Amino acid sequence: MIVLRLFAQLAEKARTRSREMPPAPTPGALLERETSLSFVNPSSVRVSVNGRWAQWTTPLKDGDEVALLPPGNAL
Amino acid sequence: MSDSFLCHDPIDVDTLEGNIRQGEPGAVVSFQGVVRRDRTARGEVAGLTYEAFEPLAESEMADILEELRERWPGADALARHRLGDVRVGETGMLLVVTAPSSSEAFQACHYALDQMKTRIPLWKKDRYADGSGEWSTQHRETMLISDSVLTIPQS
Repeated sequence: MIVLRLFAQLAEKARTRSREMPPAPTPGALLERETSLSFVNPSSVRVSVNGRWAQWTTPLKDGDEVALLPPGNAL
Repeated sequence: MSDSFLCHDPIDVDTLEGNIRQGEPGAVVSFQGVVRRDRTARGEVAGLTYEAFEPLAESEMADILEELRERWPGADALARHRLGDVRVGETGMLLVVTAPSSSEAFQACHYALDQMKTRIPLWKKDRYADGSGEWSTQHRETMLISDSVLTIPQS
């Protein structure tokens, strides 16, 4: 399984901060498959895999944590 | 006192500044981001709620401080940022930079702030008196300037 983490406005829209999802080859494929996340715009949302910056094309493996980081910055 | 960048409790500015000044630097630049009583179309902001992707925020901040020390030999810095609810008038963020001279200290402070704005996954939500809120979706550089408190000790 893949652990998906959401933050700020993405978490509020999805009504969850974390969920487990079946494996996908990349974060982009995960997003494309998950219709409940259709509001996520990959051109403005950054992605992290296992606590490091990643790309939508970064390969995933079972057990990885994918974080979707919305635009905006507190600083 | 924890060395973590992110904290839920109020930032003890005096203690942190005192700690980093023990090395007797020639210059200290101290920046505070303070929650201001902003007024938007939705009303007056009663406070902010900060949220971060903590593991990545901590590692990025550690990298930024390490880069600062490499670029300006003799410089040092510390940074703290609140999480959760912060009231108007409270310090949301502290960055203290020490260096042998004022020009180095200011340059290093600007470098750290610029890097933090693009690399730290940290969000804020305006909270209103009626309990509603709105996430900020833009970088707000003007807030950094208008809220800054910059000091240089006499040498």
